[in-house]
Amino acid sequence: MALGLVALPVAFVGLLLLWPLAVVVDRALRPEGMLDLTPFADVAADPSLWGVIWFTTWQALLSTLLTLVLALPAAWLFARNRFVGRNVLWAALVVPFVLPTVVVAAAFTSGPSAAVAPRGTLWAVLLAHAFLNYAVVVRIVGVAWADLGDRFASAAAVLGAGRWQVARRVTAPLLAPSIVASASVVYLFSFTSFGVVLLLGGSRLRTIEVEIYERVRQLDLGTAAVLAISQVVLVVGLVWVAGRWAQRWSVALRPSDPSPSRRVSGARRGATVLAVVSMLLVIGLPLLTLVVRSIWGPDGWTWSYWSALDERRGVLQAAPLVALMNSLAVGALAAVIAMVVGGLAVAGIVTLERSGPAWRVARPAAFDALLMLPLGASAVTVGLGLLLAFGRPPIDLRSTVVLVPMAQALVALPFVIRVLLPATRAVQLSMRESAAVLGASPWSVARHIDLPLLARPIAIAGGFAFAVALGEFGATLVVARPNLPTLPLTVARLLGQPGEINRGQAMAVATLLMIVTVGVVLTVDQLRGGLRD
Amino acid sequence: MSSSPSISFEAVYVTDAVRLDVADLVVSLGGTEVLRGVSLSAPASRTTAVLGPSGGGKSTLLRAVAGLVSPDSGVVRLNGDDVTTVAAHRRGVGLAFQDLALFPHRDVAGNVGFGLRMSGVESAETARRTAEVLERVGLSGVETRRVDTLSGGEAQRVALARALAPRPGVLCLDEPLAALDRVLHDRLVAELHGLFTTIATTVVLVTHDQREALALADHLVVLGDGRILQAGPPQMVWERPASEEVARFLGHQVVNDWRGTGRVVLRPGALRIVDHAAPLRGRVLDAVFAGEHTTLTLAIGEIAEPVEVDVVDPAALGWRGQDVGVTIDDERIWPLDR
Amino acid sequence: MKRILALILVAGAFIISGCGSGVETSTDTSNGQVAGTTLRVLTHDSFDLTPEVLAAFEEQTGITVELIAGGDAVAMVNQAILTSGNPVADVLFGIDDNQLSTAREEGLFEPYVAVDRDRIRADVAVPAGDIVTPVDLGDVCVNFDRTWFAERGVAPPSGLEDLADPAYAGLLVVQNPATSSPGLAFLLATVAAFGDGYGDFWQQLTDNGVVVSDGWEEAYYGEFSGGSGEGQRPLVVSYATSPPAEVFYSESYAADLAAGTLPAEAPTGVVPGTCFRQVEYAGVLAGASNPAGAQLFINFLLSDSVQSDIPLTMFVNPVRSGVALPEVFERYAGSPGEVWSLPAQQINAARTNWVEEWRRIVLG
Repeated sequence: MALGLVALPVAFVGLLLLWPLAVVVDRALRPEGMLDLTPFADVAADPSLWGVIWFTTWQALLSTLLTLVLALPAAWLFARNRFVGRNVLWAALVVPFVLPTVVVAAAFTSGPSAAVAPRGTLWAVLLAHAFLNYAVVVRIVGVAWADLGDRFASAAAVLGAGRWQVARRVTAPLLAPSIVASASVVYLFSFTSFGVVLLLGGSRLRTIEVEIYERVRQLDLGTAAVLAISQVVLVVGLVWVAGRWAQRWSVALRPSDPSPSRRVSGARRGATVLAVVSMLLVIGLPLLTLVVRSIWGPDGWTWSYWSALDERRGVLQAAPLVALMNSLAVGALAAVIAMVVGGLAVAGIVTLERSGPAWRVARPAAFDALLMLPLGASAVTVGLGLLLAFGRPPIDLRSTVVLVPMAQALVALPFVIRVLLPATRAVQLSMRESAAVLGASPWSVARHIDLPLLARPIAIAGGFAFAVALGEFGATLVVARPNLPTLPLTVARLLGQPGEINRGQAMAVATLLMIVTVGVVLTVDQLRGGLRD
Repeated sequence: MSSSPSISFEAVYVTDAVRLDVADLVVSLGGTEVLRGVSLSAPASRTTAVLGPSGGGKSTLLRAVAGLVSPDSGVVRLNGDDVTTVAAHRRGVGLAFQDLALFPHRDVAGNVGFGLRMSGVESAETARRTAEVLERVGLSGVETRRVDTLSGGEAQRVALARALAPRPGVLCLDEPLAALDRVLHDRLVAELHGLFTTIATTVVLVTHDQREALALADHLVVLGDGRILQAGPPQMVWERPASEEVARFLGHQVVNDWRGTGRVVLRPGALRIVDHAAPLRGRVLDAVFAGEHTTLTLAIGEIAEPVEVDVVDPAALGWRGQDVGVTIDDERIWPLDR
Repeated sequence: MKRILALILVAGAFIISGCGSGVETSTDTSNGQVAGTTLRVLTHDSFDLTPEVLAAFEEQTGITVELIAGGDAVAMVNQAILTSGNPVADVLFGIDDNQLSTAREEGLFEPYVAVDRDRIRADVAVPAGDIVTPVDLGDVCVNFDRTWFAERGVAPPSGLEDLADPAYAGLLVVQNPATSSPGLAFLLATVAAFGDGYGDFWQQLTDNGVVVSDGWEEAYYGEFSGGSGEGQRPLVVSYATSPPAEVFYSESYAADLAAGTLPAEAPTGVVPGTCFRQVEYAGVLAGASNPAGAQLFINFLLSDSVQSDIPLTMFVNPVRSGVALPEVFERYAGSPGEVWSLPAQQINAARTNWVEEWRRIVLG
């Protein structure tokens, strides 16, 4: 039964990711029907490519560490304190996810950040990664932290542990699974980072993915395929190791008493200030830059960029508001697909883990790694593969509208799993078993026990999935797509032409996207209390 | 909540009598054999207590009976029907967990009525029976309480009510009273006894507390290290433990060399202190006050090891270092090496 | 997407308005067999037509047009090449000379030229073999910030060589030719101008502090100081149509137009002698499932209605003679001086080497 549950997710990833990848590799390495492995030798002999691989690896590590350092205080702030605007801020953290890369780049090159970390510097790339991934850490760790409550810390304090000892010996180990989970997502994201590095790296800083992109543009499929394979191998190894770690450290925790929060005061002030400053600098400033740009023209404050959002102008295919509706619809569809597929996958993995020693470690971890692949596989290569693989009748899906939400769901899948898996593991086995002996079938257990108990993580995962889809992270996956005007595409078109109206309106559209995102995520959160109060 | 809930003794319903048989059950968890060939029979409408130390496989036995773990081999039968491969939710075996596992997202009524809802009982009937079973466990009027606002005793009663509500053929209770304070514990033992008597359901209760087991059981099974060590009527097991291990679970003293006859079990009352001159003398090595009695540790000349004797007289606390007379009640001595 | 499609107007050289008005469009047809069919058109993300113009075509022919966006021009053509023989669409629009030879070698197109081929302006040729039809053209040029140079009393550069002059040190922003179409076009301009000496020229530019970005937006908005740019450097590789676009897309354009207070000149200008011409072509993809419809669509692209629509939708110049240009083009397009170009075959043969060499010199 557990195998049945994972069958759909595995097929989903296999069909949309592995097969396309295999098609590209096949085409690249068997150009004339004969296996030709010279691209491997060529890559191995090219020191500049080794440099790219090495840079990719360490910049991702630095990005992850920086993100953790900047975001953990905020995770604490949200988890353990109550303050005005907490829910809105919690939702707003997701905004960087949905912003088109060109807008992120604009925020970093024209705002105050440019002074600290000018384009083309390592700092620009690292800061942009922290900006994008901040929410991953805050949301995943924050929820775990809130559930932790005061119990364990109090217990340890009574046993004579000082504040630092509590942090080091109690809080940190208990948070470790969620920290590892979020860090692995951040690492993967930074490892496969494409748009941000392309736009902020100033041509000299190149990740493997950027290199693949350039090679594909030159139709150098051999090198691209070899690099794509290397990337997958590195990523799978990493996820596997992280998965085993996380599983070893996973501790079943019962949600604590529902009043862990308290007003910010006294000794907590230091940590609070740290959290607020980090949020302000990392998230607030770049976003504020965009908002200001949308209402600040050459002659001062103006609403003119906003006033025409319901009109289709020369450079646009549809009014920005129409594009917004398109984006919301596609994003919602993608989120639903990702939640269904991800939910089945998590159910399957957890069932396997509990079904016996033979399955306990190796195979669930393997499924886990497979399902994390969408974050690690080269989006450029997969996009190409979709084009090549889905072109044969009877399934010529290349230009159909279904591929877009499917590809977005594919990218959102790892987020869904990363959020749901630890939470599902933490649901007490006895809850499910109680329900079963009371006559609930496995389906009823899922419906009456798992779903309600996991409502919060589900809301969080859904919000993530929606945000990821809204931001068209998957857009690079699908190279040929129906000309459906979406918000990111609209921004790209606006920024594709000179002129202050275009620039101003791009900023207005980006700001609108922010507002809508906060609204949607806030609503999803409120459906079942995104944060415990 | 009512300040002093108590379980109602009125017979509200009686389930069909179901007999449980387990034969040669072997269960492995994580590569270790937790049950190594367990066979037992729980008579219909009676309470069977499984007594054993923590980690002895008691919970696993219950989970296998309820269908939550698949045995490597062996058979579970209900009224003679092999249900070994029947899924938990179709087996009709109720189980109340040691950690209660009340559903935090449902109120008391939602918890208690869960099983009825799962079996398709309509909502009005569910509400009626929920109220009825809550009343039976002494918790009327708490239907809309959140489960995380219940006290320990109340939560225990709700868990019991939840397991009872669907009227399972066999009701399994895993350490039902372990988390309660002594006073509440003792009261609930009495109430449960009355309850089990009146509902006449087949109950299998797992505990590490011999007093609880003896008080509630019609049939006592001692389980240790994955095997049945002894089974039988409580009084028989109490008086004639089959092994030193069983004797120790029951709280009896075991003396390795009893006046040259080998190992014996000393049940309470086997030795008595007398103030007149008795042929047997012992020196009081230690005296510990325990409320209703005082426990003396005696060195008796012809016995190699010290033995303990309970004395009701509180003056015994002052006897340390003195010699006392001892009489022996051979009825309360059970030889292990026959 | 990052491309602006180009074009430019060479305004001076290109004032052919007026003559030939009244030419009939050639899309009307009595060929009823295409009615009710669907036509798939693969374009780059910048492709755009006024919806009414496209709707008129659909109404006239009974064809339903599905636009498929394939990324920027290079990505789109690569897709077509990789799927040649089993195309994703019937028509491809937006290939330029850079990739035309590859496309020809791959047999990407079923040869076809629009029926109005004799209306194409004289300085634009139909490629050999009649495989595709020119639709629009644009020039990639170095733009300069008028205000910046005026404020400092410095004359803007007057040709390619000036860009390497220490007087203009640290002022120029270019795009990486490996990732950007205008970046590649500008590299080709230097190859066309200096031949084998282009490497030395780039070495001089590098020594002179040239700044490289991967995409046009970053270069123009992020680094360029002129017009809507918010950077610090007054020279950037962009399009000849960028100055008119700056005026057309200024906040006050509508008001100024109504009040007759349009500025005398655009805030930016074009450095003469730095332009490389890009012609965009459309063709019928080999293996198209609707070849008849595809041909009608290509006829349509060269029709008056499309040719007069594209200047303000894509900011490119029409190739059809006699099409009136919008006033904002006429008035604000700079003078490109000599416009560079290279034969498609030469580009195809050496492009990869040029880009590699460029990367070695500039990025090190």
